[in-house]
Amino acid sequence: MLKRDYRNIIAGAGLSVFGLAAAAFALSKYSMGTISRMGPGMMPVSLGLILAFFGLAIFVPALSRRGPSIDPKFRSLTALSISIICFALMIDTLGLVPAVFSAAVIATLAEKLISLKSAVILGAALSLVTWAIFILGLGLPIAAFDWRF
Amino acid sequence: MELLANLGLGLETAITPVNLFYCFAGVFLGTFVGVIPGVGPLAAISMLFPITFYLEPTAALIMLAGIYYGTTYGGSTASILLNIPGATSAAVTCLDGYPMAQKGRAGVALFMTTIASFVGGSFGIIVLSLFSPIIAEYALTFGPAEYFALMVLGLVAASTIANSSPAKGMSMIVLGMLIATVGTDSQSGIGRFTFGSMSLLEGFGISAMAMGLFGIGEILSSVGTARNPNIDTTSAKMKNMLPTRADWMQSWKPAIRGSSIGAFFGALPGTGPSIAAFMAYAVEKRVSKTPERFGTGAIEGLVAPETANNAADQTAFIPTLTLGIPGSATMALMLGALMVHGIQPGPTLIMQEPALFWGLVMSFWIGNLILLVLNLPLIGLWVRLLLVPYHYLYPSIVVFICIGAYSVRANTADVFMVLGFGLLGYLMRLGNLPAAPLLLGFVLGPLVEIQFRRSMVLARGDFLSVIDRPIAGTVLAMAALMLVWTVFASLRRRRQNKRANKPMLLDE
Repeated sequence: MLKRDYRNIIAGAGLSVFGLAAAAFALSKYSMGTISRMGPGMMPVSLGLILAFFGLAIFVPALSRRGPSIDPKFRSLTALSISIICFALMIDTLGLVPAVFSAAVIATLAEKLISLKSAVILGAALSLVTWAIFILGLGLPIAAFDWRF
Repeated sequence: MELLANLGLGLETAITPVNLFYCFAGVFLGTFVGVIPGVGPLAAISMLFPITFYLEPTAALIMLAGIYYGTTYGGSTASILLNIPGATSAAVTCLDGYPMAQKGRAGVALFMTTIASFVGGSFGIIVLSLFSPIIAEYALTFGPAEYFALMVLGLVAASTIANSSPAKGMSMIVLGMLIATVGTDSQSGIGRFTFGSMSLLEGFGISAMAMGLFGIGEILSSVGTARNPNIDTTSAKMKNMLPTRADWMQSWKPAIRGSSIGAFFGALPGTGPSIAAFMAYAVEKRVSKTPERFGTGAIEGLVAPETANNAADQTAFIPTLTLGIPGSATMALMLGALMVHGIQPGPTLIMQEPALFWGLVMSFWIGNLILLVLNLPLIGLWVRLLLVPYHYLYPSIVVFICIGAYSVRANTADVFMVLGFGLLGYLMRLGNLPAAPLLLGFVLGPLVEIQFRRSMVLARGDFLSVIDRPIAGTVLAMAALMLVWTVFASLRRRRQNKRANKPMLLDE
């Protein structure tokens, strides 16, 4: 337990700041128009302000109560993020099989439960399965290997 | 009998060998993904949707329907065997389903769930086919003001009724609507919040958003947590699955009550399957002569909520298909998928494209039927799938989500969007912010904006004239009442908590 309910304090404050920022950005860039002929800015500005209001409604009551601690799982977050980024960078340049293989192997690092050998086997199996489903079966226009050397 | 003719037309459209194959594939894949613990129906549906983008519309819709039922059913399987509900509506199934499994009656529980899904689903489809044409005809007179009012009511109901914190539900709806403004403004053609990116001009895709929020978000919060599946595989053998005569006798009345309750609550905005399941369970406990058996493996406590949530799953399509207004996040996802296939649900859909509409309705029914035929023999397979360790499953899910996101437009920007929404989903979980209203707001946001702008043009900027219209005014007043009531109720709850000197209960 923490002395204050920081989960809701951060969530509420974050939403308020985001809403205000979006409203301010839309106000400076897009025209508001009039009520009968609304411009592109009207909706984002009003939504941003409403969001800021609800953010406050979450933020203020949380100041005066205790809350549970926050423990983000940095290891899982990093491993899965790198895995997905790897896939995105490799799918166009290297092809489906390398992208799937590396994404799967890196994703296994999010938990420490699996050995490198089984990770490699899993990656290979997934490469085969996805190739069979998406290229052979569904005929997606993706190359299995796209070596450009 | 116009209804029979319509249903016949639907059957004709839906029953071709190719369509049946896709329905089968959808049910199979849906159950497969839905069974995986921690993957709820929303995540499963959003992962499997991109596959249907390659099919022609009728086949795609039938496969979608199959996926939809399969995921719901798969979620119930995980609830009964592991006590891990994949969705809130399945949480009620845990109450008596898991005790049944612990008593060695898992097979019977799964068997009865399958039957209950079919009974509830069929009842819901009958209600859907009876009421949709009537509501659609009525809705033809609606102008932009009425649509705007109905959508506001839907959004308010969705964020207040089912959520423990109305402020959080509302803020997520608004955030969803705000995220939906990214991209080209349909009226002026100006790109909003695009920051010069070409990929953002089209806005965020619903599949990228759903896969990120519900797929990656769920994986991020469930990796690294301890799990040990402990399932008695023998109880899921065929000979241990057949319910006794007493089971049947105890089940038929709850099935009827559950279907009716489900059909009613499913069609209302904001309530949907979860509330229907809870209500059906509560009613069953109330009418039972032996309420003390509930929670210890009473078959009525399993059958009633299961029929209710399946009937509600069907009738939830009434507002979605006749008005184009989804009442829940799942329906929003279905609506999004229909729109990807070029189908704009609304009152004119039934009149102008009867084959498509009734084909869709009948494919729901075929989906239910295939579920029944497929799952009774395959329960053993699903049980074995539950025993696969999660550390092999989640990398596979990540890979499939990546390919799914990429394949929609062959654009790597979509994969990055999935990651972004996944991180957002994880942050929202840390802050106890519900993700479902965000998706609903995202889908309804642009529609609300268009209808509001149109109604303001028609009313020459006079908002009072919108309230003057009888239907729009009444609906808006209902939404306002609902808001005031929830604010009042949450203030009173807080005061009571303070008086009792208890810390605030955590959400969920």
